[in-house]
Amino acid sequence: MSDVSKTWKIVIMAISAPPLLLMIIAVILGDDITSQAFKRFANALITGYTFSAGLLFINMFFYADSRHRPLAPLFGMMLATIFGSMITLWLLSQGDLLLEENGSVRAQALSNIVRILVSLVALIMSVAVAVGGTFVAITSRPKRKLFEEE
Amino acid sequence: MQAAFWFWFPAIALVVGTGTALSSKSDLIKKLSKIIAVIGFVMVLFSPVTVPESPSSAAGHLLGSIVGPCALLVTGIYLLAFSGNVEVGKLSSTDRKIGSVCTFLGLVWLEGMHWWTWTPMLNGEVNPYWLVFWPTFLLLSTGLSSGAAFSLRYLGDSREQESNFMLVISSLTFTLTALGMILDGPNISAEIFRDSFWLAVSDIFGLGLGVGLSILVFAFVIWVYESSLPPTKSLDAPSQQELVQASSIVAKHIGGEQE
Repeated sequence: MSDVSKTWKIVIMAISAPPLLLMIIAVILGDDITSQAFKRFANALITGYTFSAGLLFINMFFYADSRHRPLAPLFGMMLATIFGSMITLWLLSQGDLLLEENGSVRAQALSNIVRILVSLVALIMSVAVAVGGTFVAITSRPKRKLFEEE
Repeated sequence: MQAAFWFWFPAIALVVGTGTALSSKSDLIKKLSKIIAVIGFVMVLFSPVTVPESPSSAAGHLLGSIVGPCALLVTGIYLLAFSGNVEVGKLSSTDRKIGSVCTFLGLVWLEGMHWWTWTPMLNGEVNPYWLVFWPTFLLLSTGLSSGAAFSLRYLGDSREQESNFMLVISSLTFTLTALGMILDGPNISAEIFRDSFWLAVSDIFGLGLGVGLSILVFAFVIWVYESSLPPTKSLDAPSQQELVQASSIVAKHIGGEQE
């Protein structure tokens, strides 16, 4: 295994280790919310797919700009987005399968969208803390000498 | 209809306005997008007043509750980073002190929302979106800070000191999450926090998988289109005469007497 791939594996393990440890602690403390967690996971998956496919569909216009505006990829991505939306609505309308504490399909779909936006804000803040913290740590240290002659 | 006008349209304006302001090349469009985004932001903030009956307005309430500590935290980190050893645009030592105070206050404010009585409350209950934001933020912060610490250690050169600093941040957020699972806060019990933690884990995994899937579909659509294009016309091999001409030009440039 090359040094680079070994380093990346260590970094990925470092990112996953604390959340995994926290999950172990939560398991030890023992609460059974498997059904709720599954519903939330499925809702996040379908909403994440549809939301992201919609954004990538808009992004496809920029791709089309550099390719003499072909319609085929635009149409393809539009179909992928519509497919995601339809699957989302169909799954949400299957009674209790994916409905959380919302009374209707529309309420659940809107709640999913709001939750994705709140999660995005949390993600942006955590990236600000991690990246900003790294930058603070690097710039707080006195300048290092690159060469002894300096 | 009321919710669409007072919450959803402003929310769309906020997202689209921010996106356009960041990506547009035209100064006029940038300026207009910023104005639209600010108007959208203010309207979303006021949605708990304008459409209190809509459940979505709880997101506006959360945004209003966290905008203060988040702004303090981001400003503090910015001031701390750019008052250190940077080559250009270095800020003063006073800015460094202000940065430290801002970061500290931002963190205390956020912690007070869980461990004290500053929890975002809506109609006498904890705002449901706070229970989405807080565990997601803690979970991602501990993971990303730990990743940054190990990146500094293994990818950087003599960065052990910086790596240790990031490990402290990761340990701090880890401890706060673990404590939240064990100890009750004044408004959020340990059991509710544990439930919210699992739901945040499900949210992160689901979102990651969903976004990854859509990126795969995007790549597939482009690959199908690109592979359906006719091959580009390649040029004929150079003739003997062209080769002679090229070699004479090359010889003119690399020739010369030996020193």
